[in-house]
Amino acid sequence: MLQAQKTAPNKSSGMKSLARREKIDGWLFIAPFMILCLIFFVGPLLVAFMLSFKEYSFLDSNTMFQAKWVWFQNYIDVLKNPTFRKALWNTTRYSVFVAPIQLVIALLLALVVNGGIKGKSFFRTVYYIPTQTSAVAVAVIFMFLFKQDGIFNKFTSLFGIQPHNFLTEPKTALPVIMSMAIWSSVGLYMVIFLAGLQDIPDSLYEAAGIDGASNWQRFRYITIPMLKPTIFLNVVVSMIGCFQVYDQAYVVSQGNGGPLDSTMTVVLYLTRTGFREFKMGQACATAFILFVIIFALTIAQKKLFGEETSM
Amino acid sequence: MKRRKLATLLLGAIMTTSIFAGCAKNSNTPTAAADDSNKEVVVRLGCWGGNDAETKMLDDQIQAFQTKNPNIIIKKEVITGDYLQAIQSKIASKTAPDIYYLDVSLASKFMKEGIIDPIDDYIDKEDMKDFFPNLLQGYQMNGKTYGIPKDYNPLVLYYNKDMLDKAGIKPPTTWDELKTAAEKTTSGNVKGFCLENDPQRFGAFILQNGGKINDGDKPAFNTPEAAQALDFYYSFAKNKTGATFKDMGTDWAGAAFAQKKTAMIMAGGWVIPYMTQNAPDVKYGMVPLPKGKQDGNLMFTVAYVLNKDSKHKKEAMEVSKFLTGKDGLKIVAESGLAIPSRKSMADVYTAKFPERKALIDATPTATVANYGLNGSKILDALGKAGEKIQFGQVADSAAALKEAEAAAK
Repeated sequence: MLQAQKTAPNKSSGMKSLARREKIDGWLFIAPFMILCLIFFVGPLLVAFMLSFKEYSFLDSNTMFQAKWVWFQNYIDVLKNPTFRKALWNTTRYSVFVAPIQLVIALLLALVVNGGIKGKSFFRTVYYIPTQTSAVAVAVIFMFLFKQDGIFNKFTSLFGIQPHNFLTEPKTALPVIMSMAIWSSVGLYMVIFLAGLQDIPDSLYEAAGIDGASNWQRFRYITIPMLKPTIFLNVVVSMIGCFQVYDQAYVVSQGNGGPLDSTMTVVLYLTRTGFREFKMGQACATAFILFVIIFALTIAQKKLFGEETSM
Repeated sequence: MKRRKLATLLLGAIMTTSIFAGCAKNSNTPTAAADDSNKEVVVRLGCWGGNDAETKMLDDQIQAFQTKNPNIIIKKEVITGDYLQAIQSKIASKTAPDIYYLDVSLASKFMKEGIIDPIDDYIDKEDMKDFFPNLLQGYQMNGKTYGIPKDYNPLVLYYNKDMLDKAGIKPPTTWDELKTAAEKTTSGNVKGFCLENDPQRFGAFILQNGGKINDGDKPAFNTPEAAQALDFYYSFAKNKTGATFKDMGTDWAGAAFAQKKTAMIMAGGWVIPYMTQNAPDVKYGMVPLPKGKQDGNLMFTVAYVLNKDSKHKKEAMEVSKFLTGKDGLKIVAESGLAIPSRKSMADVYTAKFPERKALIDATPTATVANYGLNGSKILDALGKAGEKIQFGQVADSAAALKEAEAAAK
């Protein structure tokens, strides 16, 4: 009897301490990442948020905490600034073109690669490799291709088209950056679409085949609806990435957003305001304005794709 | 169970600390060295990466210093990429080098913010008279000196000897002669004069016409003189006797000159090593800029400034005084990569490189490229104005300057 009494409480407290130990183990396992995240992500985020309400530059002799509070003046100044507006317009135009084109091409590639052609692995790899390249390196190469006497112009002159200096004309500089971005990130979305496509059960296609559906009907009524969560993911990720475009714009315009501000993007504007005009407060405010815009867009997209997603 | 938990804890601790091992500890001096009986001091010198020749020149100077001063060790820290961005981060995190390069265009801002210390206590006033006064002025505020210029470059007119000879003309000395020279050397794909949408180039024309770029910290370029100067500068593009280096398909004016796409460019001495390396067959000469209503030129210079948080100010100043002293600058003069900032060294330079006399001659009438506290905004606004004029987006230069003035305020 005594023995039973001894073991019974031990057993239940044993269960509790096991659960507790697992909890502690769990926290310990994620501790390294959490610490890194807090120091290098959450911390700077909070400081930047605070700075967006202050007037500060890195050259100031007082610390960030001693800097003067200007509350919403930074936000107002940024929203009124004509260069910011141009930057926002450029970035929006860029995203509106790049995101859909990227996804359509990626979906087409995924369909082709998934369709049981020979060398499937080879094509998957080849289309994915550009995503691993450095944006700066790609920008430099594209600048070489598109310059006045570059390969692209030589090619078009075969058809009698006058050579354009794509990078120095305000109308064509941004499209060059768009093409760069599409080329280098199509692979990423293709891989995600591939995963989504492979999740669609073959039985659905077989059933459709029995019912006499054409390829197009199969695509429209089976593939697209089943891919909705994947499409949603890709659209959101693509939009977020597009709105934050910076590297290519910096390299192509040599840092000044030219010609005539046609390659000025919001992040490029932000870095110039912070580091060249010594207005860190406004730069932080710009960052949070961008955050609000991207967040609003993501919410809008969620509503659009709404009910069917399991997110 | 206990062992596993211990192992987990240990592993977690090791992983976390190993991540931080990558972060360099930036506390300035290792205190052990300070306690050393030799009193060895490490002075950190911040510079930007240049081409191989520049790097070698600086290393030679450092070597010369070390042989004379074995107990002051110079640690060179090369900042690659955007120097302004990188140095600001270092200043904000209090890890900036003891002495570092500062371009004159940033001097006003740095002096006002008090990030760099006045160095009057460390320098010899008599010795300072050996420096070209307009260079030194760029680093002086309220009667105090904050930096010692190490070298400089004014703008000169480079011309392709073969092209000018073929057109049967001499290098231009006035605006009208420049116009004719450009017309006569333009043929086929070659344009006579290379333009840049850079106020640090066409600004010289503004100065030559009696205009100004800035007045202290305010923009002062919205004047008829400046508008006239810009009209003249961009007339080359309008008349197709000139084009920007970008329209010529190159990265910068020097490349256009090396590739023989243009007969004349306006640039500083940095073109010389580029030409030697990339276009040794091009025969070229240098003359002072053509004169407008008056002489006018821009001068770019870099100085060593003293970090106010430096823990070894005395030793750091020993380093910068040597690097800008007669011995240090002799190395610069003989390498020909830049023009030494001392008047006494000017003769050493021209003795070795008589063909570059134009650079020295340009110095007395040149204005140092310091545009006040609002400098980068003024330059950006002017640059955009130039672009607008080039693309024909405005009625005339006066309109562009008016818009630029509003933007630079």
